[in-house]
Amino acid sequence: MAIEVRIDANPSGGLQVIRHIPPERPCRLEGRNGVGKSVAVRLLSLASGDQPYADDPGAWRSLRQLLGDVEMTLTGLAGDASTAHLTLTPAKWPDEPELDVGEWLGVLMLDDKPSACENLFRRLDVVHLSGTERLIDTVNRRLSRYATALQVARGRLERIEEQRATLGEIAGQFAFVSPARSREDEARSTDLDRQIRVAGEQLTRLQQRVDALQRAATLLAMLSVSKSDDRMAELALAQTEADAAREELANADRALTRAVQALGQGNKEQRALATLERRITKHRADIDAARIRRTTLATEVGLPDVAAFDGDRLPQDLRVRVEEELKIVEFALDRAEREAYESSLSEAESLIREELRVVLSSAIESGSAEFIIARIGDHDVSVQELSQGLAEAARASVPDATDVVVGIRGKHVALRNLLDADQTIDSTLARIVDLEVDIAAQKAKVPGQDALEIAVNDARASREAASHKARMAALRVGQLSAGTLGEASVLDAQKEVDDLLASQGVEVAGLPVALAEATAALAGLQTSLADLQRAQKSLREDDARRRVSRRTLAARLRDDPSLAWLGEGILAGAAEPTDREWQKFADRVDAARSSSMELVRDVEALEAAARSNAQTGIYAESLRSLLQLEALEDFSDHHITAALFDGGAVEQLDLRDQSITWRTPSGERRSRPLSAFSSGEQALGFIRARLRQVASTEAPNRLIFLDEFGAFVAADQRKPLAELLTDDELNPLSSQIVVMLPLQADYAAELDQTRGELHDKYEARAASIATSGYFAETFAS
Amino acid sequence: MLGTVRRDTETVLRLLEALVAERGQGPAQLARETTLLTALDEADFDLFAALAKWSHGD
Repeated sequence: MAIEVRIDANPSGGLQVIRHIPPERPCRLEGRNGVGKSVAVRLLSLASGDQPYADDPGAWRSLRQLLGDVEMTLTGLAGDASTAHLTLTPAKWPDEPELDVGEWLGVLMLDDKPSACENLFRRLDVVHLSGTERLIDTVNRRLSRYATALQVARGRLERIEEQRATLGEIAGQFAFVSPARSREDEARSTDLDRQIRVAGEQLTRLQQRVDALQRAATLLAMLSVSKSDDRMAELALAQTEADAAREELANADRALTRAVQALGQGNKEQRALATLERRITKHRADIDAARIRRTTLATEVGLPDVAAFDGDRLPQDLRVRVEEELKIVEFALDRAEREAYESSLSEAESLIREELRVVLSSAIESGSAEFIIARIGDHDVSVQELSQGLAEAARASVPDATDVVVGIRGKHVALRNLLDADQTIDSTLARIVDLEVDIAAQKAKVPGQDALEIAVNDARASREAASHKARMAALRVGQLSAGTLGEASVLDAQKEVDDLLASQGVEVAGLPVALAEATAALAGLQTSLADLQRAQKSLREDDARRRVSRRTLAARLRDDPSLAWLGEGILAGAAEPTDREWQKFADRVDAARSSSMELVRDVEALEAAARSNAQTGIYAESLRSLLQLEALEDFSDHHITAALFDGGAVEQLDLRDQSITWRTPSGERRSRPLSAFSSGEQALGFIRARLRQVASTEAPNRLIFLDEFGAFVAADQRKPLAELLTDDELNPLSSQIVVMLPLQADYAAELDQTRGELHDKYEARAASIATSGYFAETFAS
Repeated sequence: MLGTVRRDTETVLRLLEALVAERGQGPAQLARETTLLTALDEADFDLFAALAKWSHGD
């Protein structure tokens, strides 16, 4: 009994599917191109559990989109169910043509009873052979199938991308806590210690050079002003002038005070002016005080240029020098305080602080800065506050006992105060400007000036002039005092300069450049040393992080089921893992991570090589190697060897030169190109062999479709085809054989030229073609 | 091992075998990738479920 197939489909986008394959055996199915003969066969292949689109993912995606639900009925089945009704549901099909057809295919009824699709797969075998298939096509199709399998596998691996990222993070955490990393860090730390020691020694030498060159430059400056014999007299004169200038300033101050007091006795506007004048006078006194403080501090911290500056606000270059000096001192202070504080702690105290700092930093980084972690008295303490408190405790708890710390702190405070004094001058000047604007506005209310106002203006101008003169005189005295040497000192200073320059290998003429270069090198070295010390500090903190991370990871190993595999066979009971065990965890998770990476990389590269049909490279070689192996197995089937290879043994398939080599039963070795197996006779022989190969496996219901068989219905080939279809060996093993053909004639046009039985046949064919685009009938030779 | 996995996976496993052979790598390397892919297939491509089945070979 032959199988009858009915297909009810409503596809879109021009896709068509033939609706009926009658139970005629063998069956001739002939029709126009595009009526859906091949689509029907492919749907039947899917119904048998085979994936006919494995070598054509594009066609699969198009089919999924256009097909719509399909009702397929097969009747005349052998076995315990004679009818299968399958509803195909393309919307549920996978994106790519997976080789395994599963229950996603649709809904099955066997003899009107619901059943799993799997039950139809076991019952039905569909074979689709193309009459144009050649040996080389078989090989190429296999390569396409590899590419599709790799594409499907890659798609599945892409679904675990997030899990792979998580695995990478876990691997990183375990690597961090591993003894191997710890040893690497120790080695790095030792190396950093060495680098810091070397840099420290260089820094000391360079600092000594800068000090020596600076001292030489200072002495040279003093010698240059001390060479005049009149210098002492000049100093004495400057001191006299300074005394006179101070006296003049005191007088001017008093005159101004009197003039302002007199103005305060005048009319309403003049009283207001007097108030403003008093304020300005007060601010000017503040500026004078700030300038004195700034000069004193600059002298104290060794910045003579800043001390000598006679303006109000420091110019940008001098201010930058102070700020740079402050940074250097801050760095030195931080280092000195840290060393002093750390040396004062016990090992246990250091451990507590380090681990607490790690935990708090980690909490802040993960967004828990505002979390209230403690309550002290009435005050809630957040993670952020506790972290700040920890840092402040270090600073506040530094023992003052060391002279170094005290000295640096003093310089640090002096520099800060120096900048503050400059800031005070700046802000006071701004207030004076505002007051001057107010004074101008007040004066504008009363046109002209009376004697009181003129007296105040004159007194103020005199006071400003006296103030400037006093400052200039004091500065001159300071310069002459600092730069003046006695007779004996001149000789000593000259000798010291000579010694200093000789010790540094510098000529007098080259001193400015040498000093500038040494200062720049010192600054660069300080930066390098700071970088090294930061790296060292970070490494030391890693020790604490490692201890904290181990506790967290040990808890995860016990409590997180997804990590059970990691501890399996290693983690014993509740005891803390040993170093050896931590290393095993790290190695195991790293092996998993790298295996998954290698797997993804290899699958992607193999797919790319298969898709591009690459000819060179390790991946192309691998594809070719398997392709040759599997094709060789395929062609070694005795049906094929009998038809194509003299019944001998296939020995080698070489895809590089597209040839196949075999040995005949008489022992002769023969080799031919694959293209040689495409003549009509060879092709039919190959098809026959393929059919026999198929038929050699048992199947309860087998549908065989012979596609593209147009060439074999030509008069000279019809006999061999008929023999094939009625082959005694094949017939019992198939339930249905369908020969699929494109239209062989215009049957409607030939009706007038036919009579009798042939006319009736053509008439039926023409009618069916007009209705459905194809006809199906019993195949007759 | 083969035959218990999807057919796509089975094909990929064969290709990996060929790749390892081409590279001249040993069975240990082959086992790392193929056993992981097999475990992934059996665990329906859930990585951590697969790792629970995976023979890590240490």
